[in-house]
Amino acid sequence: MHEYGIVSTIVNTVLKELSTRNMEPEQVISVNMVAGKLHQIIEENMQFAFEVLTKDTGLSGCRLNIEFKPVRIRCRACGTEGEVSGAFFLCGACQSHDVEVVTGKELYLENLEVRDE
Amino acid sequence: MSNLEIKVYKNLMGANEEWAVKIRSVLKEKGVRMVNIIGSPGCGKTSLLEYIGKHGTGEKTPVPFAVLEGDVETTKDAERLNVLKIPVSQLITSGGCHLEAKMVYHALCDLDLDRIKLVVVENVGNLVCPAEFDLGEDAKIAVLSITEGEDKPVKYPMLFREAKACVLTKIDLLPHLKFDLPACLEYVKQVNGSIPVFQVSSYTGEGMDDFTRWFIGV
Ligand SMILES: Nc1nc2c(ncn2[C@@H]2O[C@H](COP(=O)(O)OP(=O)(O)OP(=O)(O)O)[C@@H](O)[C@H]2O)c(=O)[nH]1
Ligand SMILES: [Mg+2]
Ligand SMILES: [Zn+2]
Repeated sequence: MHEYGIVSTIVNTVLKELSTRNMEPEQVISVNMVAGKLHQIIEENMQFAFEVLTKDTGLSGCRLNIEFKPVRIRCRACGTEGEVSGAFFLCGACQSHDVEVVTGKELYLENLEVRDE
Repeated sequence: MSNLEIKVYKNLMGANEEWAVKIRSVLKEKGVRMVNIIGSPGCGKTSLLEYIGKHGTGEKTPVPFAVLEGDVETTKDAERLNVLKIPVSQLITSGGCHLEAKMVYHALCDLDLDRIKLVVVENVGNLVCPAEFDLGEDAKIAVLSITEGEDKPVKYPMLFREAKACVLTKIDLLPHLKFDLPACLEYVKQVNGSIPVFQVSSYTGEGMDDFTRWFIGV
């Protein structure tokens, strides 16, 4: 439900980045971010927020691409790594519960694709 | 004309994280511990605090703590605790579905931290967003009332992964519900095998002494 807050950070960061480079928002083709699945971010809400928050900023024509990272864990007992499915946070090899999350918690803006003019 | 890639690595939780760091340093400097209570609307968070405020550990030791009450609207919860002489500040998010570290930092600084050793944050009722926001706390506590159904730990894994304890509330209602307690305990274990689960009732006091002892000892 805080998709709005995330998108607003994205839009502000992008606009700031562009102004330090003397670029125009209209040059942006896509904004690319990474989100770990553990955040349970809803793509549809993100796209809607992006549409609303980019209105009148010059960014309204660009795409927001979200790369979702699967939740992967590593076993502290035997070192096995694997993907979590069905919220089973236990080692697939030795069934230990002593596992750490290695991917799935990411939430960052990665890059922009811009038209070079 | 060609396309360019501009790298702009930016942690989207970064702004919150900066405030969380400030909170941690205030807590450390003052020797104060902080817990962050998270659960659905109406799961019994304020009732737990009322019970602890009234009964302590049941060993006649008063438990001095202050509360930062997060709600979307109204000061009702703060008023309930105020009646019990628990120092409390109400944080109103006006629609926000979680507390952020910046708001908590300012409220924390307004407390008399020389007299208080434990600060309890009651987060806005919500199982998803509050789990995402680091408030610089020593522990998050996941509260789940048994009227919500046994499957919540697997539906909202982030919270149960982040929590240092899980509290199952309203256990007095067990005879009246089709709540599968063993399955629920199994689900919690599946998501996070290393946290204790306290089964409590704020109505009957069942399980509260154990939970309170853990709580004040975080
Ligand atoms: N049967 C039963 N009901 C409870 C128990 N604890 C709380 N309740 C009831 O559950 C309702 C909500 O309790 P609160 O303590 O206000 O819950 P909360 O989580 O603080 O609610 P919000 O702050 O609004 O999200 C009230 O009607 C309480 O009387 C319990 O142990 N057993
Ligand atoms: Mg409450
Ligand atoms: Zn293993």
